[in-house]
Amino acid sequence: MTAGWRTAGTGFGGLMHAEWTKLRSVPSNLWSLLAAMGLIVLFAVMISSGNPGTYAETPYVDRFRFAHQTLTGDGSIVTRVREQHATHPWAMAGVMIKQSATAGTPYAAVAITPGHGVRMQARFTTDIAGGAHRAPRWLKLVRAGATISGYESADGRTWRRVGAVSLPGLPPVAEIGLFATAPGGERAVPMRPALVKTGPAKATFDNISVTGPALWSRWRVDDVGRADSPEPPATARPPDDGGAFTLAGLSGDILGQADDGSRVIAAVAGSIAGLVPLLALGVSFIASEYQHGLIRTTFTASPRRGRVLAAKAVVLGGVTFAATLVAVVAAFLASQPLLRRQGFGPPTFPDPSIADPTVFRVLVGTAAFLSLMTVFALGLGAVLRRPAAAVPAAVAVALAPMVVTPLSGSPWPQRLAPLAALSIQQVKETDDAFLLPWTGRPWTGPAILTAYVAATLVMGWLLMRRRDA
Amino acid sequence: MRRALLAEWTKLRTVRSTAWTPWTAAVLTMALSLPILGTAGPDTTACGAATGCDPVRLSLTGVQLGQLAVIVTAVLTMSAEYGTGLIVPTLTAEPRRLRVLTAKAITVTATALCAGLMSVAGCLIAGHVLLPGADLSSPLVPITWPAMRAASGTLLYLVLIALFSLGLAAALRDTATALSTVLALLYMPGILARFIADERWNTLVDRYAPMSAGLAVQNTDHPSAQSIGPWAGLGVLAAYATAVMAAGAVLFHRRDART
Repeated sequence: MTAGWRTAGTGFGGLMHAEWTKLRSVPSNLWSLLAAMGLIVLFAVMISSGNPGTYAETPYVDRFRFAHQTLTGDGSIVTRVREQHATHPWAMAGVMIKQSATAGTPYAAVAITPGHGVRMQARFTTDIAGGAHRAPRWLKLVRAGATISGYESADGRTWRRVGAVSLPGLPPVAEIGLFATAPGGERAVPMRPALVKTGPAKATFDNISVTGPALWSRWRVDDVGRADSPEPPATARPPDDGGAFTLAGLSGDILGQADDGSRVIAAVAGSIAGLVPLLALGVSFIASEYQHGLIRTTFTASPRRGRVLAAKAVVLGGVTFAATLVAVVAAFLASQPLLRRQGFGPPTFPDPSIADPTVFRVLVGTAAFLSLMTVFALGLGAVLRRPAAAVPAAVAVALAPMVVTPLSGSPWPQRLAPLAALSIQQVKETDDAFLLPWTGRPWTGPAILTAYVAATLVMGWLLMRRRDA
Repeated sequence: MRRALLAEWTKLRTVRSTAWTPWTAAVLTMALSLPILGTAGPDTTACGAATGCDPVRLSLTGVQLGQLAVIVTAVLTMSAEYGTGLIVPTLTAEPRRLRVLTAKAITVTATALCAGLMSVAGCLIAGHVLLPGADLSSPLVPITWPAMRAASGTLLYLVLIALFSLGLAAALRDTATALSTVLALLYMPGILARFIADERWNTLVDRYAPMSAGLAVQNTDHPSAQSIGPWAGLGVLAAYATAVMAAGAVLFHRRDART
């Protein structure tokens, strides 16, 4: 017996020292840690170098179905969006003035969305929020020279101004009309698919009226941004008597390239790859003691089981936090030049700095997430004792939301699972994305995971006290 | 050989947890398939906007979860003996190691077939009951050649997964290590591919990752240009299983039985 062993039985510090010795002297533990670190970096590099993102060729996406007339000079359009069938939070149905029915030309529009209320948007860069309403809603767009004003109303009588934008250089002759779009694959947080059911854009309009001094009143329907539309626009035209008109088209989007946090999100996305070896490490750290009978020696040296479990949790959590933090920071640094080469560079995507509070929160939070997941696996190992039961259980609980979420399209599996802690990786999302739950509340997920960890550790402790080793 | 087989069969049969494998597999399979079938409609993501709906494939989705039971059994067949030290008497009774491994392979194949039969039958019946009415046809009526191919292919898939797991367990010996390696190799490629927008990467993973390649056999409608053919996909998985089994056999043959 060495001096170190004797102190192991004395205080909590000695207990931690004993657990630290066990952790570092088992080769498979070290291999698990190294495998996790390697995978975190490897996949960050893969994701950063294999991803052109949404905007492969142009700095915007401009794809939608447009029913339009030609308006010369000033004028306006009024309609009521009676029904919007699309489910994507950023699907849009509304009225638009656009230079021509060609993708990329200047435009101003006011539209209703299922998830973000009334929006007035222009030239891919301006986005003004109106009221948080859903269809049915009245919308109006007025052109006066180069100024376009958007209005919304509940009844078509009292109008509220959403905003006004200036489109200098908009020619006197422009296209005015109704449009509908629903993002499919287009609106992905570039590194994470958005969590939505994809469906075609579909909206029903009524009470349509276009007014202007010089209006060429023939309606045309175009699929803007689709040179070879696989589903040509229907021949139906908006009726002139103001009756109902349904505009249904393929998926599309109207969106300008903006810093959406891709440079940070891509750099930490590989963290998920390191999860499985870490879960195996967490389970083994306690279950293998049961398997080989070492647990009896451990409990003889320190009969208070709660303290043993606590020492294990602290040592394991600390070591995995330190190791994964190194890996996450390395992944972040290695990804940046690759992302720049993929087109995620200044001025649109400024170089992120570790000192930035958001970046710091994401990097440290990711390491904390991985470390908590490892301790969660330790708790499961304490409850189930056998690796054959605890490893699949831990992996199933951890990976289930990743498999189920794309199949179900519901945000709840990933909001309530331990994996919810990935919300700490949010940067600038407007909606829940794949494995980025709880939009706008990055700390909710880690709180949920902490509750899971505490629950499994307490359960493991209670069972350890009751059960014979 | 008969003796070795009988010994393996007895070991497998008499451990309570493994005797339950087919039931566990069927329950896990249904636990995933039922909610998917219950909520399936023509516009759900499960169908996929581009590919359309494939009732047979949709019904058999649960196998992705149910295979866990087969994997755990196959891994334990090998690693549990190292964990408990039983490997020493086993090899004393039958010193020809390849014979031991072959006997184990045969028993896990039988278990996987049993689990597969129950799971596949459950899935197809559930699909037959639940799918019509959601604008989707039953996977069973009429019985088509592609549907039969999907059903029998899923059985073969489970067998190959079992052999893949057994081979890895023979090579890695430790339960936790072997299990986590199998699970990572099966589930992670598909998850990680979702993070990469590049079509080429996705196609590559879809065609050659063990799980997605093997499950291509469940496709019954016109496969898209990117996806690997049903039998070719199963062939890819068979190649992985063979390679892993060969590596496991070599290591098992050459190494000392550590206790």
